[in-house]
Amino acid sequence: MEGEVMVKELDPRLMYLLLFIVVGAPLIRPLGLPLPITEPVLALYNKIESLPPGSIVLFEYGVGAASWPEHGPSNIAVLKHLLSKDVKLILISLYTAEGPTLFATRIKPAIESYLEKKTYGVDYVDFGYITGYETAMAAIAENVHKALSVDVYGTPVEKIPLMKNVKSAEDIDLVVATAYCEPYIRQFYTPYGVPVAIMTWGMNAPGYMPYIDAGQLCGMLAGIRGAAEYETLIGSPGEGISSADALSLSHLLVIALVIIGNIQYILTKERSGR
Amino acid sequence: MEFPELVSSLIAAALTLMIYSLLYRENILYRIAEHTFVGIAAGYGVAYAIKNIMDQGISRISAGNYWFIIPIIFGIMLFFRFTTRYAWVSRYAMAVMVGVGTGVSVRALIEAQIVRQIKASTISLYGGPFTLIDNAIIVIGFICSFLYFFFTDISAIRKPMSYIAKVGRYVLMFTFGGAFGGTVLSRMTLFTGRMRFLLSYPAYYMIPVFIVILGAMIYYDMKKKE
Repeated sequence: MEGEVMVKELDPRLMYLLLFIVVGAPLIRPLGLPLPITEPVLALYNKIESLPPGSIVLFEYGVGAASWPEHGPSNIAVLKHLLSKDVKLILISLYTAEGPTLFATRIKPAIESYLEKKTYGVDYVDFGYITGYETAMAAIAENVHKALSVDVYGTPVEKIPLMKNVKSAEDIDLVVATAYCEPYIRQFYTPYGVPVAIMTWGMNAPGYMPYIDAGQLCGMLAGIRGAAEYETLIGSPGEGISSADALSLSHLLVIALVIIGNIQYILTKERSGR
Repeated sequence: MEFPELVSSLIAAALTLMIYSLLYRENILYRIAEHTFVGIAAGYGVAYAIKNIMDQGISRISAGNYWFIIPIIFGIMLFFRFTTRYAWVSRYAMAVMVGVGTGVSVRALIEAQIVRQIKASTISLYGGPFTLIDNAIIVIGFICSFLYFFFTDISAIRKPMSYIAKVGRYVLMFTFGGAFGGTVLSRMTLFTGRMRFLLSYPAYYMIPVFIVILGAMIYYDMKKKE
């Protein structure tokens, strides 16, 4: 293979360098590539738009430091939309203990202007991290007051005005969760019929499409792409839109490397066959 | 930007670049960052676990809910696994945890992940050419990939089953391809997020420092080679 550089033999460090350039350049100078809105994202937007005033939404902000780029922008975008509507929010972190820290340091500053117009305890309440994940979900769905005894400030649940009429999953109108959708479908949708929407990793999107088709998920935001689409829908640009170009170019680079690698593999196979 | 925020951003940028230094080669900077991460993550986890025990257990016991002593005893039993002689005690607590976890998941699993998925695959092939193609792919793909895992060998249907299994294998390979593509997308998102942070104020001040360190490493390696 004289005079040819095999992709499979290429020093991986050169590919990393190329990736740094391809991702970094559009972050410094955005290209403004088109961003079509996908159906699962539009479905969640429409679901929130159709919520009657006073609806109760359980919002799970289980964002970890490592998964921030995937889940953080989605959480901010959906919360902005929810806070702009006349709905009551129950905030909680079930997926990770890092949730409350990320909420306080990254999410809250981004939605501060929306929260200022709302009253804590009346329009929204924060229960912080509750351990147990699916067992905690089952307990919340069955008896909210028993499972969530106090909020993050130590106020007993009985003394929170918003929680007076929220006794079980039957009183919740929508669940918007982070990370995995299956436990929420099992604990909220299947037994109580509560609509569930998910903000998940991009890699989970293909696996969750059957749940969308089956009507078990009423919407889905997959990774930063989903966040970018949602930011476009609510007209509030954030991390999602600013990262969309970099993400698209990085995908093009991977696709190009896969195609070149495969062509060279076929050529090598043919030549060695001769 | 306030001073503590400025310092924390610079530390975060330095640690990010130290982790990425692994892309060049294994080095002490990477190991320092890795060990720092593991230590902080473990410390954070322990602190939150203690907070949870206080909030969910001790405070409720103090309020008169004495039956919360039972899960605390189960929790203490888990620590017996660190002794060889009494390790069996921890198995009872583990059995309760696994049993409760499985029971809670299984109660709606059949309906949520099997029955509803079968129902969703029972779709009409009528409704226009595109609907026909879409739904035919779903139905044929579902049946073939399902039958790929049919291992009983019946001689009368061996040949048609082999063709169906082959189609099923291709459907599964397309699915795995999609899943792999999604995984790459996810990793790129994480990288894009870090790059976005590194190119923001004040993190970008660490980039020239890192380039100098990387250059020194490359120079050292070249000298060593000579």
